[in-house]
Amino acid sequence: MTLQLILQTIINCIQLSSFYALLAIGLSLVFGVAGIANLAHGELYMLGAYVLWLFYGVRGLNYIGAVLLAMLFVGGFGILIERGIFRPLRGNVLSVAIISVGLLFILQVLVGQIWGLGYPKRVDDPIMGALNIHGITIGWQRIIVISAAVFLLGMLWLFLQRTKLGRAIRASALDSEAASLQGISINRSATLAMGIGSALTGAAGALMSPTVAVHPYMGHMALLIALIVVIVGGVGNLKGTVLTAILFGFLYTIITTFLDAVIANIASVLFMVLLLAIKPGGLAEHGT
Amino acid sequence: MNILELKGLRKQFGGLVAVNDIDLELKEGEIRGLIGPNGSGKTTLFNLISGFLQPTKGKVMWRGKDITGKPAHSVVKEGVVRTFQLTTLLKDMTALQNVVIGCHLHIEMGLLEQVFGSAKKREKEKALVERAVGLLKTMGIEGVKDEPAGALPHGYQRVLNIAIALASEPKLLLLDEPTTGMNPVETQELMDKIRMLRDELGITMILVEHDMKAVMGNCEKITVMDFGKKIAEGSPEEVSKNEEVIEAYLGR
Amino acid sequence: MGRKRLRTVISLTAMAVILFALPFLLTRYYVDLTIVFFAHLILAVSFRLITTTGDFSLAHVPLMGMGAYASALMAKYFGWPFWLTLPLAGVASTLVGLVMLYPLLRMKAFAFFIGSYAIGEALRLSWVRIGIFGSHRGISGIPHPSISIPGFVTISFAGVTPYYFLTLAITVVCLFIMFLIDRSRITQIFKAIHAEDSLVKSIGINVTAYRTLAFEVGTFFAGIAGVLLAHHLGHIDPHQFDLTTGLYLLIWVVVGGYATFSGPIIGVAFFTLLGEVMRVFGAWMPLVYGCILIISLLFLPEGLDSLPGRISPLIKKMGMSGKKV
Repeated sequence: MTLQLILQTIINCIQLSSFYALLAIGLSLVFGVAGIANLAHGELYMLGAYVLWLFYGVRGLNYIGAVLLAMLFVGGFGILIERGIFRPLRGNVLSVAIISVGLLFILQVLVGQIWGLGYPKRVDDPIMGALNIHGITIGWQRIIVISAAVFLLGMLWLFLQRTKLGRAIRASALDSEAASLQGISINRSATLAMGIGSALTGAAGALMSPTVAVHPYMGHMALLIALIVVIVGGVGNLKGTVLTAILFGFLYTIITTFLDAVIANIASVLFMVLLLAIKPGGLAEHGT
Repeated sequence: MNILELKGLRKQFGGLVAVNDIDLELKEGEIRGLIGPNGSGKTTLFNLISGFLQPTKGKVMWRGKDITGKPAHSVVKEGVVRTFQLTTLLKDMTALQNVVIGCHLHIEMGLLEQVFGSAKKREKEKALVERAVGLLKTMGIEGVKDEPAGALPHGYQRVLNIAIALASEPKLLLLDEPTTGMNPVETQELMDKIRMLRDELGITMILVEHDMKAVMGNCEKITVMDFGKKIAEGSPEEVSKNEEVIEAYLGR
Repeated sequence: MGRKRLRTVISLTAMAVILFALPFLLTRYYVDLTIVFFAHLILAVSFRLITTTGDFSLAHVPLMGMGAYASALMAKYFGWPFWLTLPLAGVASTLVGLVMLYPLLRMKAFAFFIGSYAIGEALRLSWVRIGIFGSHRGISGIPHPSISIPGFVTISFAGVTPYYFLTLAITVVCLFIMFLIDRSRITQIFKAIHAEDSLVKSIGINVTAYRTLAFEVGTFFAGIAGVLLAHHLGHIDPHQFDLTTGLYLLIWVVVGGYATFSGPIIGVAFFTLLGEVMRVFGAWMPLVYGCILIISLLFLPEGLDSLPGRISPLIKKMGMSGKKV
């Protein structure tokens, strides 16, 4: 067990944690603020990856521009679906979850039929090669993912803590009835949360696209991770989500490195069942 | 003879103590008032007694038997039934159907019989309906028996809740703000019926109420709670003159 | 006989005649389809039974798979006859379901939905991991059922037509039992649990016991459906019982209408027909499913089943305005 291996593993943990945090935060936000359990969350991640592939990989737009474009597109799409299909059912978490299943199928098929189901799309690293410090190799892409995640999450934190709009969203998450009595529009909070949450999820997809296989079903794994992190960390509890993402990223990397991925998957799923079973009152439903 | 005894009953939610070491003794046939400002723990106390919540500490003794922590449905079988602060009804079913369902403990039919029927099934079901109609009559609302429960006026709904509770043949009835939303006439009628239930059917009762007139006029003894603790207990006159009680209500 | 009763008898007789004649009128492909349709009917109606308590279970399809695997293993490796493996497989499903209920009963609504997916998936992954289930390849060569009275006669259901009638008979029995349950007080209590579970507790009903009852009864029939499929297809693998199948089941029932007994039947019929009509667009099917689900939930929340109820007042209105002219 060399120092190098340990440090290398830690870097891997940090990268995975950053990804998990960015991926899950959008779901936590939208579930907590508007009671939207979007099971098509993984497909938003997938859309972000595809936008990046289309504009950076195929058309040659610069990387940062493509990531921003992905965020814009997925964020906008999120707003559309919030208004179109989630808003009419708002209040019943299970109904929203069921209708999002429809969205899941639609997106998977659309993307698959338009851009093909063959081999996964390949996206090149924007900066090839790696940084070398004292014999430890850190791929530049990893650094990009970690920095971008920290930056975006930091921006989110500032927005929620320091701006009026952000505070309004937090109030809606805590108690929608009280918030609306104070003149905070629940509709606006929900739309905003969905827009921001989706944008962040799209960013996760765009940032990870050079590293993972880009194909129409890549969202399945993303949804599972996001659900586990959100459930364990606490719905709407953004701090808890980030902490859980870190914990989970570390655990998953360690188990995968020293055992295997299948065991890590089974363990994750069973852990989710355990948490759902023992959490007092199950998942805190929106507004309660 | 004490029909109900609460010994050091306590309920804690994390850091919040909702019910703080409550001792209470209830005699058979009493109509006890339970009052206190909002959030003083009255409903939580009901939840603890009736098995809807598990106490953190303490005991609930019912007719000499320890029923602490028993689940709600078992407590009902012991004879302790509660109603709810918010009207809780099967809104799409008629008043009669609600009470028929309420007669669950008396259906005398096994699961197989319920599904596949039997020679006596019709008779048994008829008996249930008759029983339900009788209960509606007792509470004076048999006139609306075929109306959907959700369509009934608020006062009728509250009374229907009590009729459903009676279906389980309770020996102790925990009524949580039964007169909410009732005008003085309805309130008085309900109080008369409550006294009748005690006088004719021997049901002991604890009444959580905000309507002071109803409580003072109909309860022989009153227990006052604030912040989860018992702050006073005694006759209506004693309690209304108690300084702590006055402060608890005015201080809010 | 009253008029309504007469109408019911006539329509049932007509249906019976059609069902009996079907295998002789249709091509083999469509008889195969109908057999699968029957199994799906049992699956959907039993799924809906569980939803009456408010529990939407994504473990339903994996539990159907459990019945399929159980019967397949018993028939192939022990050589046990169909009339024995069928009920035993149902029991096997219920036993596994009971283990699942241990954590699941602590969850409600959305949490139950997700938890049931997770635990169903754990079951499915165990078939991949544990040797006797045949891993990814599953189990092949599942024998056709045959009923034999030793020394007397052996009826083999190897042919499509005999298997059709076997499946038909089993389906009728299963649906009939579930129909009786739906009409009974037990289902009233299930629905009451969904609507106001506090009230149900306060009248002395053990809500946990009733939720268990609904889940276990539904699971038993899911196991039966699995057995019918296993012996028909001759081959089963974990892929057949994955999340996508479970979500399709959800869509059949929700779009058909989960508030009534006939809703899931209509849902299965609708989507089976749709699947045939749109076979050309094979790859687009999930998208069509998704669109129908969304449209259904937004505009027809009570399902296709409620359509006649909505249309007849409209027709009556049109009829009356016609008369005025």
